[in-house]
Amino acid sequence: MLKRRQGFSLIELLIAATIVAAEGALLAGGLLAANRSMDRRTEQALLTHLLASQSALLDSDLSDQTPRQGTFAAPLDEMAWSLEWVPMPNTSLVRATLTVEREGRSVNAVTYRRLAQ
Amino acid sequence: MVELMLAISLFAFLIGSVAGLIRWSLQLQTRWGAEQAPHQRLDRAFSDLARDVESAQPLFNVPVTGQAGRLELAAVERTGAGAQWRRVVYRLDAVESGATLVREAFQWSDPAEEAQPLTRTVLTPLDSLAFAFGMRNPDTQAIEWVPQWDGEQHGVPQLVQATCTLPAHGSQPPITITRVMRNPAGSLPVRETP
Repeated sequence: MLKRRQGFSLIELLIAATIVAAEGALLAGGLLAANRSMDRRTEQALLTHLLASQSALLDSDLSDQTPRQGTFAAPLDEMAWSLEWVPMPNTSLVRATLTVEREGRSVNAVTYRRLAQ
Repeated sequence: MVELMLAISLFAFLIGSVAGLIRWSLQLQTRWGAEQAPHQRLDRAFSDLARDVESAQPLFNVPVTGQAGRLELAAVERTGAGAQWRRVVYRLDAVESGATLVREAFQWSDPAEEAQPLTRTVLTPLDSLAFAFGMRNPDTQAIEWVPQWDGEQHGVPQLVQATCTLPAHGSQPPITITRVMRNPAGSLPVRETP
């Protein structure tokens, strides 16, 4: 008569341990990704502040269509802004696209202004 | 018996490693969250300021008054009971850890002597905050920033600049951020040369 098996085999324990380890690694990886995302959001908020400031400084009437660009004062000198204007056909409006970027990441806003005569 | 001991040791090692990894991640998250909290508070404060500046309107007896650490204006706020005039004051209070930006909103219908403002701390802690107001240079037509605004003379300003310095926090050094807010109906007067 066969003796009845008691407890878990080594293979079963190893499988259980591997599953627990994999779940833990996934959880830690998720937390790290969430942290990186939070960091990115902070940078995005800073870019948005700068974009809003540059946008506020845009004149109500634009007098020429030369693209403009510039950088910000230290310690934000890694960030740059640019402004491009496109005249809207059959209107006296121009479409101004304002962009603020840092290391390839950017935010932009599109606004419309009158073309100064 | 040896197999069991080996399995338990391996299991304990894996569990310990995973627990350490999770604890390290949580500590990192707490530290990063604390470092980013001032920026998030600044973001909300600038949003409040921009909303008030954009909705500022000329109102009899409440001219816009601007100084380096104080801004007073009248604005229409939408509430559950409809739109109401408010006199809004932003002022800088000194506290032990530096300064605090406080927003006071007075209901227009309250008598001035008995007015109980709705006071709210907008941003704390701060190293400094200074308001400046846009004017045109009469020669170059470029925008210049002046530290004071006389609303009786110039009405509502078109450009208000807030320069804010956040204190050092953790490994983050102090950082100064400038935000410009625009009131589309405001005035951009020519600066008088002495």
